Amino acid sequence: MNTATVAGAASAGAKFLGALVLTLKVLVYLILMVAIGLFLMGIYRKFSARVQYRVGPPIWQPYIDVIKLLSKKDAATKNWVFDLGAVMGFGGPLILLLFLPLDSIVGLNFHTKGDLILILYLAVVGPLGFALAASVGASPWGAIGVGRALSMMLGYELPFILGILAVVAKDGTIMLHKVAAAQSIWNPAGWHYFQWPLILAAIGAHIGLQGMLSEKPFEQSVAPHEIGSGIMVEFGGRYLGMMLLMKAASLMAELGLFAIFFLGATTPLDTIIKIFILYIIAISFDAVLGRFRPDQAFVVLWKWPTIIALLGLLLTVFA
Amino acid sequence: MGMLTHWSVLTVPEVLVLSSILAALFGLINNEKVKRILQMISTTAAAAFALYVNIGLVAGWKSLPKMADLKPFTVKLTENITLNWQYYWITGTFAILVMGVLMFVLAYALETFKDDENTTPFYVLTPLLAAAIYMTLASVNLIALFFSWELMSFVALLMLLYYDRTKEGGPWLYAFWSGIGAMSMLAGIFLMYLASDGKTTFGMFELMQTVPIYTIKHPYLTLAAVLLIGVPFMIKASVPPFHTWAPRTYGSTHPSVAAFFSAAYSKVGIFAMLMWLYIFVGTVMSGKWVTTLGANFRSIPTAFFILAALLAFGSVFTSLLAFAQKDAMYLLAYSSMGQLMYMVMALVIGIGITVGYQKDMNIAMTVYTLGFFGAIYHAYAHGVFEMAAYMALGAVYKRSGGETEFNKLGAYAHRMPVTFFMGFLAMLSTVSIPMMWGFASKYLIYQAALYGRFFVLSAMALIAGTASFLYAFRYIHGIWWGQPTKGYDFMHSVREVSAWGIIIALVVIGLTVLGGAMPGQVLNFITGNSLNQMVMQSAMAGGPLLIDKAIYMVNGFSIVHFGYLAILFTVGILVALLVYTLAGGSRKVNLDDFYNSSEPYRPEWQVQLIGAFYGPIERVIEPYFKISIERVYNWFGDIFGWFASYIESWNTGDTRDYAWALAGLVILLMVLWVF
Repeated sequence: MNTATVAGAASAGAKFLGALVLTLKVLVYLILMVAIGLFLMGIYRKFSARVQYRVGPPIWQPYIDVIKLLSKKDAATKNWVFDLGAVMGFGGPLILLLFLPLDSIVGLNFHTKGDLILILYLAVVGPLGFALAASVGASPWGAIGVGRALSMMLGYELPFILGILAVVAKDGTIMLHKVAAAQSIWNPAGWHYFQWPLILAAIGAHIGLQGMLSEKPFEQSVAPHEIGSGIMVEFGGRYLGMMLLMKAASLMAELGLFAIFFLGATTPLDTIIKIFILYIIAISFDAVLGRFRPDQAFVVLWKWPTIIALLGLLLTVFA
Repeated sequence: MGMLTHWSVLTVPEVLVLSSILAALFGLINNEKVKRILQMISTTAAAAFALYVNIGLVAGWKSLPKMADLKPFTVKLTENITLNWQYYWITGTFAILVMGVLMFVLAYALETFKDDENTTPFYVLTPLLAAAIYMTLASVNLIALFFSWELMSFVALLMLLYYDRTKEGGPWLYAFWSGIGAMSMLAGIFLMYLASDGKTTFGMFELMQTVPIYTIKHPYLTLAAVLLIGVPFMIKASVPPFHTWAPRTYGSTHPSVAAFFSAAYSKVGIFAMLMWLYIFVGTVMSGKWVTTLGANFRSIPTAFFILAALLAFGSVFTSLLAFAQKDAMYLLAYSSMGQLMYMVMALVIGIGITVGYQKDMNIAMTVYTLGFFGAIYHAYAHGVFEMAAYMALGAVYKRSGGETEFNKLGAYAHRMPVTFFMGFLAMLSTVSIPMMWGFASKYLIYQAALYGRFFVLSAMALIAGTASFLYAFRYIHGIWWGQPTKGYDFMHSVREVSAWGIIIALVVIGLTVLGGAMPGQVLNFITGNSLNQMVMQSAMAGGPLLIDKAIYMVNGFSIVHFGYLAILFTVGILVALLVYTLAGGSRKVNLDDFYNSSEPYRPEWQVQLIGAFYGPIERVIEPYFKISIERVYNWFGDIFGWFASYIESWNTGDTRDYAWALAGLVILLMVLWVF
């Protein structure tokens, strides 16, 4: 072998190694995020049990649930579109996570290759996937559940978008890392959440976030009665396992997005801490509030949080 | 000698018009296969020719004459006025879209027409309509545009009249609004003649330069002329409050006709609005009386802002109406209207801001480029996904015996998987899922609105986008999934489209993904390198905009790297697939069980599902939809009706009375004339 061939082989080897390391980083990052998301779900179950004077399951119960469900043989398979729906459902939030600044936890910087608009549209890939699967299932209950979930989405998106756009109006950018950089990390006075008039936008968006997380009073699409008469009716075994994984990944992505825009989440560590804080707030409300009917929830979301967020946006624009 | 100069007896508009007429003549052939092949050749050749000219002209290929040397097709009307049909890159950009849609719709038509429906008028009239559309696109003179426009409207009316599926008066509503548009344009032309003191030659480009001068001299007359000229364009582009004809017209016709109307014909409205906005700018630029909204709104002229706000509001309204529809044709019609409003909004913002925002021309030019090319790219994206959605519906329409209402459809995806996939991707593109053409185009529009600091308009556009998820899901579930409404035996008899139809579906699917994966490349290709030139000019002047093969970037403000998006999208899906594959398996269910999710077949569930799919929020928003501009029009109609009845009540049944009345009127006029 001559020198050029050796150099070429070495270069190809280095490239292969680089690709391998990158792939491992991506996998570690995604597994870590999903694991934290499942941990949050465990906290939720424990927390709500304690509020209701129950012992509750162990905090690692969601991990056990996922492993059990994924390893079970499902009673019935549907067709390839049902499978596609389930894969889209979990894949969507994973793609979304790859574009969030949290990826710097393993030294990635994909978040500099996408912005808010991309994130907002990637956020619906997952729900759309499961909606498709529920539709394919042909059970009337599944489709009714999807109808409820999409109605809720229309409800909470408006205040959330108005709130987020108020931040865009102030910072003059829709790139997430730049929005984060415009705030302080640990000093709440430097967070958009506590700045006038952005606080109005933040409150509006925060109420929208409660709907996005499907927590009470906006949990119509995943409420317990939905197991038998909603979107989950057709999901068992690995399909339900995939759905739980989607929930875990979505939690991280949605809470992370809010933390970046309003709580100055800049580094992975502080983002994760802020995600925890936000989630505790969300499940606290969930534990003590009742549930609206879908039409009531829609009216509430398009009324008060929207008005508050719009006011915040207008005051920011004209400030 | 270049290629074009060899056949310089023909101008580019003539080639496109004649090729369409040729395709129309081929439509008269009885043999289906021969007809289809010949029409395919003629329409493909014309589309390829338009593409060749468009790319070659701007790139300055040696085989083509220079842009300035291209001969127009001319007709001398008077000493001053010559009617011109000339080819420009923007004409070509829209012509490629129209010809492409024509090609697909004609090729797929056989899959959508029922056996008892006569296809000949469709095969003949659609290419003729395309010919009239080219004439309109190539008109560089207002009077030439008027004639082309009316010819186009007339052919379209013939199509609507022949394929009036529901007999709900859709064609006549279209005819009424076309008539209003024609009279308005004619009145506008007359007023423009007066405003110019008889000096105008009615050239479109001339008007863009001279309207500011006319405005200074006769401000109100010129404004009235410009607005009246714009009315037919607004009607065609479904700009509120001139949009009320569209749902019933699109909804009541045949799916293939609606496919061509929605995907291609409606784009003439966008093209005309584009040209008209430059003339409208003239009245604003004169600074005679039009105000701007100040620095908080990048100093956009108030009139432009009001128009943009109307369009943003309209897009939300139509998207909400779309998901409440019980008929797939009407759902797509409302969807189409919402998408058209997006395009015009992008143009209004882009063009408007260049007038007002003189403080930083880099910002103004960036918003302009994003709005202008966003509108064009969305016109293409909409052309492809709306055509695909209608074509897929058409295939079901044929197999279901002419059904388009959701409560009579359902479960067709089991028997028609490829057609379903075309419809599904069309909907993914409609709702702007990343990697789809609809995302790549709508993203530019959002950028224009956000970078232009129109945050409330952006929020409305984004909410219209969210509402599109609701109607997209209704389309997907109502037609393709859910339970069968015609029983199992019927479903087993349903067959997928022919191999020919499958090939077309696969090409359309490929296009939907291609436009979303390599947007910069595709946009530059269809606009004949104009995008590159504009972006380069902007960059040389220090502007922040970069639109490359696979990157959209406004420096410091936004970025989407489509290459990374494609890779990470694949990675995310592969990881999910890996988990899914490693998980436990499942047992296969037979199709009959699957149709009903193993539950007994109960038709009433269908009613519950489709009739009240979004029932809770439909009930919430229903009261707000009582506020309808159509009611105002109907109210005016009632007044006219009442007046006509009153006049009719004078009828004595004796014609001599009318003779006396007429004589009296003549005498009165003579008296008035004398004194």
